[in-house]
Amino acid sequence: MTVLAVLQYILSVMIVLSAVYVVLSGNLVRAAFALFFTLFAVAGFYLTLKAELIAGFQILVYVGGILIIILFGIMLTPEYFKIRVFSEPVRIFPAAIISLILFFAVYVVGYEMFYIMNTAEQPYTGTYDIGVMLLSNYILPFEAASLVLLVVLIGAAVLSRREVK
Amino acid sequence: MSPFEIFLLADALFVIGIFGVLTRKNAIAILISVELILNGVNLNLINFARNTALGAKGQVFVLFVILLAALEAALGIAIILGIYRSLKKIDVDEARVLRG
Repeated sequence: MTVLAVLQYILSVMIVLSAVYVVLSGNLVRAAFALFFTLFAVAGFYLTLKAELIAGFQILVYVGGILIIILFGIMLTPEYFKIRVFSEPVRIFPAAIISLILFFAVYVVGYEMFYIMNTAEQPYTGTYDIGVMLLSNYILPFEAASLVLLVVLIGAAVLSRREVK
Repeated sequence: MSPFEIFLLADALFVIGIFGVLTRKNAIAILISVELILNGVNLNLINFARNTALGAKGQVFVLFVILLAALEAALGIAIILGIYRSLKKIDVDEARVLRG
């Protein structure tokens, strides 16, 4: 077993354990910090798959942005100060059964798919190639993304302002 | 790890996120679980980009998914704060009326 495989197995254990803690923990702040570990481990997994640009974006956007937004959300809804930040999982058994069925459904589909698909390691594509693709073949979604960013910026500002009395 | 094992890991992450969405009542906890789902999908896309003929297109796709996840979190928190202002709680079972 190579060093890379050992690293991938360690990262997988980290991802699954911290993700399970995220969904089972009653304390939302602890869930958010467990999510921190999940996101970092996924970023490390991207590195082992030679997608270093995506790993950087994962850390910048997810860990540095989304996680902070979520923590702000927890702190800004003063349930944190007044009532309680706990939110225990409910209806665990039906949800677990549905999740397990879904897992095996995806497993079966993936098994069939990997049976007929030939998997081979692709040549390395770095940041340069992705940048060229973004500005040539994928220029329309790239521009649409900037438009969506503007709309969401305005929308979030409109939604979160206070009414003038 | 073989591509199929990584596929199973992504599947597990996805299903754990689904479990979280089904079991939580707090809106922010649901938002956290949605992030888990998106991470599972992204992990699988990167796996396919590395190991199948999909190639670098997968990485481009993941960039767009990350962008939309950030927007979804920002708008989601704005909506949750709006729900909090009108109901004084963010329990999704309580938010039944559209006209607050």
